[in-house]
Amino acid sequence: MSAPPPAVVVDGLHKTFRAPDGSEVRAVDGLSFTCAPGEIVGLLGPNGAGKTTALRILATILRPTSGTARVAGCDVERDPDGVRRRLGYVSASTGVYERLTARETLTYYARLHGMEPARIARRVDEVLALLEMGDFCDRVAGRLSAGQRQKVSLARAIVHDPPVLILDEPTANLDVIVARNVIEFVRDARGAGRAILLSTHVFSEAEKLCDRVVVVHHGHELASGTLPELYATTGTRDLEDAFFKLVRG
Amino acid sequence: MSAPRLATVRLVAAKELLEALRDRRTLFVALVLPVLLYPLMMVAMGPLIGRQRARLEQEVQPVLVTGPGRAALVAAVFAPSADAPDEEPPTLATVDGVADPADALARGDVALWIETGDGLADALDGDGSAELRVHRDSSDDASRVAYAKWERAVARATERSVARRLERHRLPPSLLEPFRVAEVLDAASAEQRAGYAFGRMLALVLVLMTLSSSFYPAVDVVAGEKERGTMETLLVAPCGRAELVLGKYLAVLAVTLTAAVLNLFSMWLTMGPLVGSLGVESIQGLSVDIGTVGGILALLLPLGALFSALSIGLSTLARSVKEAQHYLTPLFLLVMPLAMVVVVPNVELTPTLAALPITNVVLFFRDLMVGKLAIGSALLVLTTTVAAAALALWGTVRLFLREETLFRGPEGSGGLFVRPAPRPVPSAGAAVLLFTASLALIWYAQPLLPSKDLLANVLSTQLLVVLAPCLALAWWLRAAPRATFRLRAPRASVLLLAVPIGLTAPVVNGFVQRTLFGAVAEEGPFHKLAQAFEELIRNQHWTVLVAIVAVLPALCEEFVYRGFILASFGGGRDGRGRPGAAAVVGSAALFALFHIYPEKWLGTFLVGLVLGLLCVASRSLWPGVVAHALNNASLVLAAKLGEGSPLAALHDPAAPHNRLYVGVSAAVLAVSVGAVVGLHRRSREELDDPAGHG
Repeated sequence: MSAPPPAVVVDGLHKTFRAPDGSEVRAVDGLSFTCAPGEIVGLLGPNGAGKTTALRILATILRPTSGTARVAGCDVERDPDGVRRRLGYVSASTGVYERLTARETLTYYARLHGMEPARIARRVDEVLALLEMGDFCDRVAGRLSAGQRQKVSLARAIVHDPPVLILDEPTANLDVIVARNVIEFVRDARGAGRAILLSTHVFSEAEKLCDRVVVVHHGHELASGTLPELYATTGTRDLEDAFFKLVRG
Repeated sequence: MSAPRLATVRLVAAKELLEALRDRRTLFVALVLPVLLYPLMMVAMGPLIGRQRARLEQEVQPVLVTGPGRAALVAAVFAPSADAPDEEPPTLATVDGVADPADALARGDVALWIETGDGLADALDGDGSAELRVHRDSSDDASRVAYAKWERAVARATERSVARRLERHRLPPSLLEPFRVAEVLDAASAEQRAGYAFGRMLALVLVLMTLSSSFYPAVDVVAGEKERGTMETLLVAPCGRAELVLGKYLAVLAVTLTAAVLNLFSMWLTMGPLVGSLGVESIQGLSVDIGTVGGILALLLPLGALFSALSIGLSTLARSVKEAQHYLTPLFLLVMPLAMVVVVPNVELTPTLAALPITNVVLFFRDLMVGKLAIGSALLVLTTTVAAAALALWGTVRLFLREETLFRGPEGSGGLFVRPAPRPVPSAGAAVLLFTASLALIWYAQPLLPSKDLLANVLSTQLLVVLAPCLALAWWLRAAPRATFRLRAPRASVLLLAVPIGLTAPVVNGFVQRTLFGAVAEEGPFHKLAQAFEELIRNQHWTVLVAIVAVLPALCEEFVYRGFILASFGGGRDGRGRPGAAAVVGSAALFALFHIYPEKWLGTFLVGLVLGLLCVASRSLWPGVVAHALNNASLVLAAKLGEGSPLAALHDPAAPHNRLYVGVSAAVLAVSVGAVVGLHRRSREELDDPAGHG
């Protein structure tokens, strides 16, 4: 049986910003990788490595300076709406609408995604049940705990049943219990056949979750492959050692 | 980009409205405040002020009367009169035995101090006149009221005294009354009188309330989304950014208009039925009829649309709610002066003012309330406001589409006292800062500069107010001096053309000025300045004049306006760009505004355009300096040499052949400017196509 075609294809991606002083900053500098359905690919790198910028380009929030990126067959530049319809996105700084209930937020996003009105209520109930949100789904988010809010965020990202999930440091700023919930959510999503791109700088999390990792530093790839492959090429036995060996050259 | 889909816009708007309605702050500012404000203002404040006034009237103020005529004055003015037993004496109490009257008045122990002289009693008994000296404190409420009472009392005493004298001389009372006004009739209706008294204030309050009710929801829907981390995910939803911003705009507009309507309704209710039922006399007869309400409503729609767009634009620029709220003050500083025009007396809604946003709205409201709004002006105001709203909305949508504004980096952490990273030329913001700072400096530093000696004043103003801040700011910003001030050798051809331009520009400019505006008015601050310069020119040697009045200002002003400001405006985001037409026009506009007196604006603007062109075409500052210095020098020397000199004949409309000189100058100027434009075009083509054609 051959591997399914990749759901995310990134090829030679560049993104250049202008700093306020006029100098050029190459946030992403020639990044290429893929991610297949039912696969978790981790982007691993220190803060400022360019992970967030790369993921934002994939999410069509930013536009690439050069290179291409395709999500579920849609090009981020030529068909951004197509990308957005097939994508769920959560980042560390993602918040929730404090004055809306979970159900209202999910309904709002389902409608923004153009889902058929008849399907929306059923799908929202389905997602609420999947994430065990029944107890608090009709309370405004301002009165929810951090863990409950994170569930609202994750539920919002999958309400339209996207084949691809992009999670930018989804466990940052969360306590261990909530982080655990997120990790379970990611595993379940892989089980459901979604292609998942995950950025993190927590090595244990990457070790637990990722099928493959791409080590990113200064906007470009230092190494990529499955964890055993990475250990073999660097002659190390855990991800942290492998990472530092790569970064220090 | 495809056209925004209405369904998505509506969906976003509905969600934003739902959130706004669940926000206590929005509800308070938009819905509760207007309902409370007008009753408070009209019913509480009006009578409160009235009651305090009445109390002062009824209270008895102590009045000190001193001097030999004391007894006679007290009997004539302060005591009940035997001639007119019906007349109440003033509610003032005379006191005496005060050691230091001036001090007692200053401390408020007495409200008035009246000094009498010798012979007051004799004067009163006979036909004489006695002098009084009245001391009052016009900064004290009690003293003001006492003085008003005194004036009335002394007027009555005078009347009684005059009547007695006329009777004694057997003269008819009409002798002193050649005219008798039988009745004064007011053409204004009760509504118009009320509109006149309260229309200005209500117009102002209505505009400011509309602004504040648009601002808070606008901050919430964009800056608030950024801050709470929901903006990013919203942008990942499959809808256009224009749809998002339009949806948000509609929600803010709905809140703003609801608030505006509530304001209006509350105003109408307060002034109509409520006031009537309270029976408060001071605001009786106040009412706003339904036609006026309709007219105000018709204009509130585009006004709310304008404010909503401006507020969302500022909110889009901000990274956080706090930053957005900081923008409220500048917005108010922009709107307040435009709106405050309504309280200036005798301002008519002329076609010019009808085209000035905000000002036209308050004047429209004011005129509508006194029933004197012309239909032509009304339509002009409506059209301008609709156009301004459309422009603001267009700008806001454009702003929202730029990823730089949606994802601005973290706020500058260095603060005010950390020098920024070097860049070739300063940013446009730095140019605006320099301009504002030098205007402020003129205002604040002028008292410190030598004022008697105009020559020393020009010298210090140019060096300290014009040049020094510019050099200091350029150093602070680590701008490259060569690029910022264009310190390159000029192209010889453009430098040569600067000479005829500098010599002919003032001749043509003077003619245009005279033709459009006539001779300089014989009064006002500009005339005074011109006279001071004439005197300076008479008294100084011509070499000093050329050096300090012609060359020095040319050098300093060129450094600022064709150096720093032109480069900054044309530098683009990275400071590497080349100035284009917009930068030339922008720097010329600031150059004109810097010359303070409106009489000078048009002339300096045109000169600024030509100087900017010279600078851009030569890629050097020096041709501009040469032309500017020649322009100044020819004016100064023409004045120095006086009538009859050939140079003066160029500038003096009364001199023989002046029209001919002006015509020749205009032709030379046109050819020279044309040549500069041509040279500039050619050099740009060479730059764009470095291979060239030979």
